[in-house]
Amino acid sequence: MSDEPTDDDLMRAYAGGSARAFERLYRRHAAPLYRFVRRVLGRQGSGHVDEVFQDTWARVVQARERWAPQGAAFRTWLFTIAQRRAIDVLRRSGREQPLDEEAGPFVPEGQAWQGWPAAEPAGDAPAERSFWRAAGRRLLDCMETLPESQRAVFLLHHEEGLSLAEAARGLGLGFETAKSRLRYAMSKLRTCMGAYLPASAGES
Amino acid sequence: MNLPPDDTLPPPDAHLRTALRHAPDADAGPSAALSGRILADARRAVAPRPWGWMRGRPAGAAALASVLLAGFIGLMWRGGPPPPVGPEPSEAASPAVTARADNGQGSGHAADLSSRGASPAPSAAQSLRPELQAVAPVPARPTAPPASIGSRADVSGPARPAAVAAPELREPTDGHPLGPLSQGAERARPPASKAPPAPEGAMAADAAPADPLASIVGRLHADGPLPPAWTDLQALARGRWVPERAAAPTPIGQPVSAADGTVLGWLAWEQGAVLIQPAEGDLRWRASLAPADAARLRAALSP
Repeated sequence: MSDEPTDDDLMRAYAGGSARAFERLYRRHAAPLYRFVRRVLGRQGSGHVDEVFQDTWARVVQARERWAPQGAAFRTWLFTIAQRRAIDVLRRSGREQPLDEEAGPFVPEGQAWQGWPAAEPAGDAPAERSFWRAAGRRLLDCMETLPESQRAVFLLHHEEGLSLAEAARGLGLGFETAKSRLRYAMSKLRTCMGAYLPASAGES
Repeated sequence: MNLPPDDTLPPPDAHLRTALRHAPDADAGPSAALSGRILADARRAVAPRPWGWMRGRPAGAAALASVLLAGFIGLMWRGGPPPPVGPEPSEAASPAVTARADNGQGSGHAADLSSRGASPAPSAAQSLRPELQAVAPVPARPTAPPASIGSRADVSGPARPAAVAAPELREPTDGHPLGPLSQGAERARPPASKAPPAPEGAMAADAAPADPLASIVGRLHADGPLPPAWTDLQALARGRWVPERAAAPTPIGQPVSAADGTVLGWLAWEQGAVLIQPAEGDLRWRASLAPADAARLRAALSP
């Protein structure tokens, strides 16, 4: 069993007046949260990344005394705050992309590429690293085409490792809605990546 | 919320996850400055505050507020209300002011500084001279004898003709008898003192009180035991002296002499007023006193 205090322990300590507890909490989550905010906002909202990131932590500070781990983990709560702030910012600036899943049942767009190399663990070979780096760059481009809400579900589920139920709860969505958004997102991304990867694979 | 288990879903796409992990922004993070701001805000939020103990203690806060308020009020009224600045209303109008009021003349302060050095002028200009001296910052040196006033007049420059000086002196300033500077001084005075028009001498004394008795009393004191009536007179007349004449006047009243016979000045009495004419200088000073005080001091200081 690790001696590391949990996020909830640190949050309670911070509410009790320990600034050091907040610093540990911040060090633990700052980089992934910043990345998440940056990816949810995309290129359109790149000018607001610092603002949303700082505002998210400001809300953590404000809510320190009300914080109670009631079902949701601190990390889920933290990323949920960030996602909502990001959507607010995009909405305010008129850059929010409309959702399209209500248009009809999910239908995959085209055929996803089947020639992926082994994903995990990524090999150490320079060629493989180059491939995945190019794939990552392409994936960021592909994510730009997703509505922010689909992007957020995808990122929470795929990058932050939240279960779909946690992501749905954090985003205030019904489970089925979250599942639908995730499926749309994955289908679009696979198709988008498939159209790119053969050329990238050919480079490597 | 009753949610179905995640195992009804396909697992996360390993390829997409790996691509995410290798994306160019995978190492992105907040700048040091941004982190510094956030951490500083967080520290500030939990830093102990001087009044932090009051949080959640409204009764304590109310008690403290009451104590502070009571202390503030006590401080405001410490020693009672502020003493009146000017003389009593019954004596507010000095002869100089009365005379000017009768003549319908005002003294433009703008003329004060420029004409302070003017040599004494007869007639109308001379009658305005006391006012001129009263509003001028003559008593800048509180203990300076009147002689210094006269000497300043001597060195200030060539004499100005009365015909030139008089119009400036008579120039009204929005109906205010004392001109802008005196108006400013009056504005600074508490409202209570505005009700009766204070004599100009008192106003000038507010700015820098002159005491023509200072040199006389100082000399008498140096010569030997000083009759208490002199200090009484000095105290009662302080701030009320009004210069009356710029030209060398005829001595008035009784001489006040030092032990060696040197005449230090002349002292005279009127109804409710005392006049002192120091031997040095060319001014005569008048101070309004309560009639009872004037009578008592006159009896004590008469030879």
